[in-house]
Amino acid sequence: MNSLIGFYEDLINYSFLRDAFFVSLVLGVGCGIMGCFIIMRGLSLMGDAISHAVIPGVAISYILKINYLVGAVAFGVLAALGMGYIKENSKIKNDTAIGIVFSAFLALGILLITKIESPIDLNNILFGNVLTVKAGERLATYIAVASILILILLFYKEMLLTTFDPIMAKVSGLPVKFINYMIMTMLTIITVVSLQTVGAILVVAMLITPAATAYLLTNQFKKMMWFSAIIGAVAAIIGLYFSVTYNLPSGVVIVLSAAVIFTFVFFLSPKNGILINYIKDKKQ
Amino acid sequence: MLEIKELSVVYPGGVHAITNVNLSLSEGLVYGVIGPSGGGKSSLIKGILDLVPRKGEVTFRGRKLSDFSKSIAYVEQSDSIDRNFPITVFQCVLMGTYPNLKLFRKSGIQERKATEDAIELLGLSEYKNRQIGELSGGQFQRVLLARALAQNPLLYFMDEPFEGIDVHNESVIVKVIQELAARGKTVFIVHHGLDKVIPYFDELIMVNQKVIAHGTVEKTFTKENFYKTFHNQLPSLFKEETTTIQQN
Repeated sequence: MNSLIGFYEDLINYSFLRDAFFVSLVLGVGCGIMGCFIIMRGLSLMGDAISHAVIPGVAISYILKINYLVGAVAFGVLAALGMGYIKENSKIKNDTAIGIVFSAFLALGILLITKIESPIDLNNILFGNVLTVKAGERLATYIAVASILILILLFYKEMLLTTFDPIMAKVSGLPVKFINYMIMTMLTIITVVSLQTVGAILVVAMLITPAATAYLLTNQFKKMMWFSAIIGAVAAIIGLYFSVTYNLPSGVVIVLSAAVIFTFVFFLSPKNGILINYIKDKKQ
Repeated sequence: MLEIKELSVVYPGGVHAITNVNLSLSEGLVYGVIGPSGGGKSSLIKGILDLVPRKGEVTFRGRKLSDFSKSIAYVEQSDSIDRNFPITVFQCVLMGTYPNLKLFRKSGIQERKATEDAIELLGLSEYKNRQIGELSGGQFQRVLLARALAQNPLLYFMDEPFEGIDVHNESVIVKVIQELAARGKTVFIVHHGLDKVIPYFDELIMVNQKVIAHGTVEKTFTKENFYKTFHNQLPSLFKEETTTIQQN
């Protein structure tokens, strides 16, 4: 309890902690909502791949002395295109193409970061440190998440229909390819802005764990997005608390918080909880 | 009039599903597409809709069919849809109105009314707040047809809508299809079985890699055309059905 009060007082007193709080909250909400489309489209592995593939972009951005977001987004898109190209031009299956490309990009990224003399902390890139997020990066995060939420509001019906039934969407003349590319770009952008907070290794968990938890709680997609946003935000704040209080890498504890919530819901959700269903079966 | 000229569907690897199909099809009729398994029935529909690699030309009312995309409803096989998707029957049917909504527009009263009407017509009112995974196969097939109705299209393409559903669901669907045709809509149905061909369809398109026969059911549903269409795959069941048909 004392540590909670201490955390609250620190939030009031230290601006760097407030900044970390808001950036975690915004990312929790953004990743939670975006994650609903990712898991329902079966793109979880793709999200994981892109988060690893952006690392060489971060290193090259440093070499070229440009904002790391630019290089990261470029490499994220390059990786997505590469995976698609291999799949479409060979008999190799999608998951194999993803595995080949993202591991190669990850290896290249680690090579570049360890060999070039850079101040980039590999540990921060891989596991995240929300306390080191700079003002410009915070602004980029807010703009990115706001843009993604606006796009979802504007294109909600197109995104929903192309996710649920892409064939009907195509037959009835909806711009399926455009929506698919837009979602891949949104995925890349939210992955990149989450790097500093959650880290490349674990960012996919922020995208899929809150969404998967929400999926177990409701049978309606809009409610799923709300639940996922709330779960993402709660996990981010709990994670930040443990990160600051016990000096732990923020990404690791945020992801563990989300995993604990998932585990709780997995067993106890009113409709789909394993334990609840078991008890119901026993009673009947 | 729907005109199909020299339509061929060739899948990657050079597999020819259908070759050089030419058809002129009038509006306001129910067409049954029948043929053996692997004979290209679904490929013909998918080729017309440009869902698979194709060659040839498809026009409707003298213009490219793609110009009428908002007026085309495709009721695919129900097992190709994720039934665990978190949406209710109402939300699923409401999606039928999306193609006619402009970019950035949300569904309003008019779209909700069209959705309610379609749900009622298919006898799904009591299920409208249920998640789609909680329905039987036949009920879900009715939901897919209701979604197509909510779109209010000119052309309906249905891929085996009677597959794996019970008699009650089948009769509800057939009644709605016949009402659609009476209102001038054109309906194409890929049909796996051979029974019910006479009462269900106005015209038949018999397919086995190419169009073997096309015309009114009375003229096309002949033993000779059956042998030409089903030849090697002619099952004993077919012989029984032919006998039944001839008796009818």
